[in-house]
Amino acid sequence: MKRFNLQLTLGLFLLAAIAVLSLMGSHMAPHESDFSDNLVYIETEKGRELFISPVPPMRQYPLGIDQYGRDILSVMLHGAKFSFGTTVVVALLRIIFAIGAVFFTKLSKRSKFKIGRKSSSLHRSITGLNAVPQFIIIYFILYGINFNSSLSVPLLTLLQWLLLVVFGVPGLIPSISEYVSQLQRSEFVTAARSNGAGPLRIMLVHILPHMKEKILLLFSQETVSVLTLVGQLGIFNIFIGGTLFTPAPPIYHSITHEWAGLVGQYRFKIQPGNWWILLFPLIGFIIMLLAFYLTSRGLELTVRKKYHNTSYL
Amino acid sequence: MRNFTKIVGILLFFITVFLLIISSPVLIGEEDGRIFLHPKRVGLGLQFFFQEVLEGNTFEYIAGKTSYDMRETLPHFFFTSLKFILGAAFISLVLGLWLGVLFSFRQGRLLKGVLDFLHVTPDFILALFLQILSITIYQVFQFRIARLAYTGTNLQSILLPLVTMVVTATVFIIRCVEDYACKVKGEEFILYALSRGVGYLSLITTHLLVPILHYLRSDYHRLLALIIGNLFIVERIFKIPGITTFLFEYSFQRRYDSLTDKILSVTQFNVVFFGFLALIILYWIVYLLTDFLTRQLIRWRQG
Repeated sequence: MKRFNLQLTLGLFLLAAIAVLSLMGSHMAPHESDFSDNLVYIETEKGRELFISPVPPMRQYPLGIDQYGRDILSVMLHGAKFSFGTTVVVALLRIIFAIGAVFFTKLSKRSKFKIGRKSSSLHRSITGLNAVPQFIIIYFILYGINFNSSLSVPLLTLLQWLLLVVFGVPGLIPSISEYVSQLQRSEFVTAARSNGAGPLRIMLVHILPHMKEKILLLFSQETVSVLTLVGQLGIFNIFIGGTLFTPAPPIYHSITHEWAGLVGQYRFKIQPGNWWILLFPLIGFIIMLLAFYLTSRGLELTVRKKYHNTSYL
Repeated sequence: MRNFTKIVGILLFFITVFLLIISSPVLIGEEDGRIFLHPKRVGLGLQFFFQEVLEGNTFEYIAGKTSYDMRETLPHFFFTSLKFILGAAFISLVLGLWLGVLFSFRQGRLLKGVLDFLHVTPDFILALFLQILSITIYQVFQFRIARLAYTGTNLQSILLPLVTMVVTATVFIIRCVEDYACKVKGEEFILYALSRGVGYLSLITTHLLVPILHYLRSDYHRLLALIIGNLFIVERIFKIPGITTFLFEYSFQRRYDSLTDKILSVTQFNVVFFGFLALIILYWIVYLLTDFLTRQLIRWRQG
């Protein structure tokens, strides 16, 4: 009997909900993305009352109004597409480029990364650079162009995606390369080769279709890693789509309102009385992380169940 | 001779990458919707830095409008970070070893699920949640369990940053130890020791622990990379005046110039250089100390 995969089902359900929010969020939002009003009249039990921002969650404003007079629900709905889009697109591009790099290396006759070959000093040195947290390097590169940037939001976002992809691909290559090497040793590849199939055909027709589970698994794992990286950059005020910096008092705003950026900009507001300002973006971010994590775990269990060897012990 | 060339090559590679990274905020800029590279600015900045080195003023840096001497302030930043890294490394190693061995024997699915989720939970989420939790407890029970941020020499925030660092590192060690324990438990010498009637406790503390420690030593670089990464986040969130705060607060500063009505960027290469240098020294101190203590423990268990 087929067992119900709760993790995968729950993960996919959450992902579908977030995807709908990302696509429809801007239309569903009660206010425009740049809406801000520090004085709002709200209907209460006592009648119509005047509130000065920040305003805690109420019926009209379920997630409250932040200190700048913005409705947190609207802000989150507008930013959802950037958070979800960045995570999915960057993870997808990382996988595509990593597979491309591995195939290119394997097909190249002068391949320097043969199986069993001792790694070179340069290769070891590059691996040693992994000890430096990725977000530090990306922070330094983006520092000069991310704050009050004259670059358009799409261009800056593309540039940030590119950096997130470039720094993620080297970590994926060894895992994919090892998997491809294992497949290359399989009997069906030997059979195809003896039938006269060329290296390119073997890669595209015989090996690539066998990698679909592995690709799906790596993709879901990468989404978690991308989300973490974007969140870490947010803590250092590097927000996806750009950072608006006001010097007096020094405040950093996320231009696109993506969720990691909201966490980054609201984290200064953890004080008794208005800590809920941070809570909702934080919960949103965690739900997104949980959705990707559950999908990844669910897929891992499915793949393991499908391909595992029976234990004799 | 060949080895010497190799070492020089690797050193040059690292220096080039290091210089490229630290100079990128000056090198890459934007104007009128286009991206520009400013190699001249980098050249001038580095020239100024080396000039200061030759003149002996390289330890001076500006924070806000005041000038400071790194020889007086840097040790304070350094020891603050050292305290956290050492604490996190030792507590997580002890806890991780103990729990890792324990979990390799008995493990519920729920517990494994929680550990797996904690493993992917970013450190900043944990830190921010701990802060929110402390506030909630204070508001509900009027009981202060921890200080949320560092607000002065006598008002230090220690518990929450340390818990954040320890949890992340401990989960990493538990997963490693569990993995190694499963591998070692299948070895023939364990079966032999069991057949010779060696007690369960002795089997764990000697026959199982020693090979695990040997394996674990190879993970210390990964562990410290993780802890250093955590340090950046934790010092940022809890406002701890450590080495990463020194690096980020003073290396690149933005100032509002009321005369030109513009935001000016100020770069201090000496801060970046000595900040990173201090971080590397910190890394090696903790690595060597941890490795030395592990070797002593192995020697002691092996008699």
